[in-house]
Amino acid sequence: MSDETVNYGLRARSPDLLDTVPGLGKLKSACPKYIEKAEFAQKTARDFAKNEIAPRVLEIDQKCAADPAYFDWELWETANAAKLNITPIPEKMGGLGWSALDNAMLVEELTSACMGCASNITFNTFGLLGAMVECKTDIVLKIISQMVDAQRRSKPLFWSWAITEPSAGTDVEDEEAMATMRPSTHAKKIEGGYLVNGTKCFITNGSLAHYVIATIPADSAHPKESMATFFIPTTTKGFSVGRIERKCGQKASQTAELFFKDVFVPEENVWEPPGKGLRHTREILSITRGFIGIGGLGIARGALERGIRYVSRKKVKNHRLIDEEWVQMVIADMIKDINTVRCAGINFAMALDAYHVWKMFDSVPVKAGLKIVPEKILLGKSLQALAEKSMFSHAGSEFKKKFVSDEQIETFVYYGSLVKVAGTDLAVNITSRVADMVGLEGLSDQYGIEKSFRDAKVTQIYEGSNQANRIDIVKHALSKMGIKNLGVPDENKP
Amino acid sequence: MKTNLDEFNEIISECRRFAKKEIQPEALEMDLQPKFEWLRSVWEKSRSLDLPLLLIPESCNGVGYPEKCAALVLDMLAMECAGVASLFAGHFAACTTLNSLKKQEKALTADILKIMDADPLPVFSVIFPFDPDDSSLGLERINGKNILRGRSSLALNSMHADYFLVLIQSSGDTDAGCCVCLPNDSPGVEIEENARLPGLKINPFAKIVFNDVVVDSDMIIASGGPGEKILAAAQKAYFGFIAAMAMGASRSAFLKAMSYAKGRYQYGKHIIHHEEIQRMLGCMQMKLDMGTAGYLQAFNDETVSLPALSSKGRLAKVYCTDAALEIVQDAIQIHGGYGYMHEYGLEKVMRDVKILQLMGGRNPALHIQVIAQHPVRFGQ
Repeated sequence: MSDETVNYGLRARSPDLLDTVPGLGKLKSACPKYIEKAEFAQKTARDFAKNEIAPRVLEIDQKCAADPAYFDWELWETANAAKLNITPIPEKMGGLGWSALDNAMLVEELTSACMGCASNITFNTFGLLGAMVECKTDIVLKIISQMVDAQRRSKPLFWSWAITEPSAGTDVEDEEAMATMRPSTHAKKIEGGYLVNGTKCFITNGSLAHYVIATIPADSAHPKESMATFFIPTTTKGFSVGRIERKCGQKASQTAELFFKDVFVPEENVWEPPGKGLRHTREILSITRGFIGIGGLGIARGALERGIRYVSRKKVKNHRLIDEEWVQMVIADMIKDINTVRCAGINFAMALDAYHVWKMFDSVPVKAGLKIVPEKILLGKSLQALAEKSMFSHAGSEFKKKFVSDEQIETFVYYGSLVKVAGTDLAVNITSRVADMVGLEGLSDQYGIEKSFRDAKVTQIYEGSNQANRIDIVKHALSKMGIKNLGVPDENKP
Repeated sequence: MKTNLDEFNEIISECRRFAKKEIQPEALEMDLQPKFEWLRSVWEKSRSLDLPLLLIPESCNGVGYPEKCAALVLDMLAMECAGVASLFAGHFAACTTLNSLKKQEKALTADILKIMDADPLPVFSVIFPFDPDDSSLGLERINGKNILRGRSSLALNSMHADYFLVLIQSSGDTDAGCCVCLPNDSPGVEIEENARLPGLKINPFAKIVFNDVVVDSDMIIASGGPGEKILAAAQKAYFGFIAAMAMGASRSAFLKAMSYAKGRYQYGKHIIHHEEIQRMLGCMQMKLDMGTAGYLQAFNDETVSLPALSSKGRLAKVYCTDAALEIVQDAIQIHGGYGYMHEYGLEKVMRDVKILQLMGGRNPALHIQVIAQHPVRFGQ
């Protein structure tokens, strides 16, 4: 039986967004362009995943297993040419202008082919995200300009978000935990900026990054009160990359240690001053966690796709393995779980479009600006110079605050955590069940199922362990019910 | 037969020491760059503990220990590397055939006795009729010769075995319940390529093809009814051995998680003081205890007669391997990012356990078999 006869996942009729989430039909009738663009994004991403990633993914995995520093530049160049690494940047400025929903389509399709390769393409938006959180007009324009310029010249431009430290994993993501964390990094205030020292670990793309956005405390004894966010070019003296980790899975994506030895960060590269670093982290998490959940969904779907293909072909005695009732029940259960999580992921992405930073792109000033101002000026030096003036620089931050409040950020950390836990638990559960279904032979590396199994586990760990995500979920949910001060002894409760 | 508790505990201690000394230092490197000669050297060193002879009857110059003891040995070896343990598991499963014959008071042929008497004892691989696909194995009598033909499912010890012990399931033909012993270099025996599975890498799986292999009558250990009994006994032991290895592998993961939780500071305290971590560790401990009891029970010849109590080896395998995967995945979770890195050893355990989970058949299918193969339970 040929692969093409299993019309599921990457080989399904494309686009099939309305087949899998039919309720969107109602929205399509009200906002046809919004859904049509998502369908286009799904088709674009699916074609790329099917034609560019899937055919070479096992070879890349093997090369990276032999050498963790191997990076498939050919695939990156193809993705760059398709602008898949700058999708959220408005079309007028050189990007694709994709909404959060469009990006959800991108993430599900690419991760269904390979989570590691998808990370290499999509995690690069950390630079843009970091800038959008800050939202100083000059910084946003500068980052967008750099990303678009690099894309056009087909020059790699990587960004890493460095928060994890050897002695502090999820401590850097939670207010209460940060108060008691034992930092491995420190930023000392000196004239004109800060001197940064210490180590960050498990940093995605850390070995490839041209810029690092790092959260580092200015006072090790009071990390919560002094946590700041720094923007650090990796060419800065004193910055170095340690080992590239040998991981269980997601081998195509490099994970590295970063060392800071008396790295000088000038004031203009302090994106959040001491005390504001946690807010920066929380706002990024409010967006990224949900996308990791969608990535988990993609891993699960990809594993199921490969599993169905295998059991449709595999002969047992005088029948196909898929003819056995227990196999059919397992598949039914997996389709049910995948579809349920997909609805949650799509709901999250649409909420980002409706209430989070993406809403800015729909605002009248931004829309009008993008429509009226010529492209050359948008990305030109004159506008950049104007934006650097204090009044204009802060105008962007003030404008964004109208759209994204602190309360909204916490609400989206909650929404994102729901999807993250659901999607990544799904990935681990389904990749394992697919392996159980296909059996020993089906786990031979030629089928890619064992790779899905290896790729899945870490999704439950990064972007905050699922336990840390659950803490965010329960705190927020119970707080809405009027139950607060969890875990505080009665005598200390206000 | 030596079965007292003190003696078992002594064997457990010796094997634990042996595994730590001989296996642990190299296990991770051998996962990345498997060297078959290293595994063979571990095998040779294990002769100091008489491990290769453990299940060989005393009448054949073996140690004559019970299968339960072999399972405990595998548990200890798997704590350092399930791949190494699996070499012994395949060998032990083959050796159970001798015990089965002994129980049936059947004699071994002179050729088999000669193999058993060899010094050093060769490595065996047992080939079960699990998961027959391309073509089932069959032994036919053609022109006065015994001809073995067909292709096995993925076989353990395929790259290391000196002899294959081929078990052929009853098919209503002349080959009913046959047990055949063949040297790996017999004319017509072809070992296919490494199946490249993600776990147990030091002991790769491959299919064995038998291209009209002529089998000397002396190398047919048993056939017919006795052959059926051998097959049943070997399968039961094999399932128990897989269960024991799964428990051993996850036992090491549990201990690592306990140790890490005591030292890792997060959220204002060492994480062992967080209730959620305690719950996870408690759940892991429960699965370890239940699994260990389950596989030991599977080796008990006698048990109390509670209604609906089974001591099926295959159920012990299903429970223990499923539980082991959950234990290891939780151990990784407790370690956070470190658990996913090769140098911490846990991700290797996860890959190894996943293979143990699939050995001997898919777990959901084994659930079905346990009920379906007992028609009396349906009143038929």
